[in-house]
Amino acid sequence: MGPTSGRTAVISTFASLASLLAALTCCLPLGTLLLSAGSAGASLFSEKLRPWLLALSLAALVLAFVQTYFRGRCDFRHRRLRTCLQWFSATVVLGMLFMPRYVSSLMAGRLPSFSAASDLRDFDERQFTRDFDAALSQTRIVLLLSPT
Amino acid sequence: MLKANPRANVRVFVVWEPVLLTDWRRPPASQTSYVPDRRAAHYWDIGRRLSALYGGSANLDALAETRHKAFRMKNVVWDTALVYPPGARWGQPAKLLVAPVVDFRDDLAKAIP
Repeated sequence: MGPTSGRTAVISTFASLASLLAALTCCLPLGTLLLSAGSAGASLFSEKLRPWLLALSLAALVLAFVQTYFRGRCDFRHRRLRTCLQWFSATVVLGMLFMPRYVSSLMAGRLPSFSAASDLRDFDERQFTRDFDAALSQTRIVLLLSPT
Repeated sequence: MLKANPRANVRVFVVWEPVLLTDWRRPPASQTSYVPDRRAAHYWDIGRRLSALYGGSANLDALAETRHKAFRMKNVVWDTALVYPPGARWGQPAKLLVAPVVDFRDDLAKAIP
């Protein structure tokens, strides 16, 4: 392996993890920390940049794998620790894309739940307003949330 | 918050909506485990209809008498809680609006009778 391509693979892996971490600032305590530190722009920052950071994660990961496995002169695959890091990075990035709720639960220190607490109904405007007015005698809280 | 007030006469409407890039598919039913209380009803609002009904983020100030906002929403109303007192019908302003929810959970808890 040429030292340059090996270094690129390592840097790409770290870049992938770093950009993923930045992309996750919405659901990690880091996001709350930034917000509570008075950075009102933190949430806006993560909301705007999140798609790009995730794309960057993927791109960096692809580059790392290409450098490692598709360039014959690279012996990076034999370096166990860095290979583990690369696969760990791949697991986290792909997990975040395909199972975002479970990954963010784990990263926030909670075990994800696989059982349903109640039905998840498709939103229907008429049904919703009926349900809302049917609970007229109660205090009602409406929560609008992103699943991830 | 609901656990701490098991006898509170409250009804919670949890509306899940796609906002982030990672919200690209319908969440599984286990999504409801995030608010497991029997007083909560869960909806999946793929078209972000409720946000539109509220008039989008530009209309936030008209939605409640008291508002605590710590982040700017682009177009969609999200990570937001609105508290309606008993007797308020749909279309009337809420008593309290907080966003993001986690930052104002104490205010939210105080609003529960």
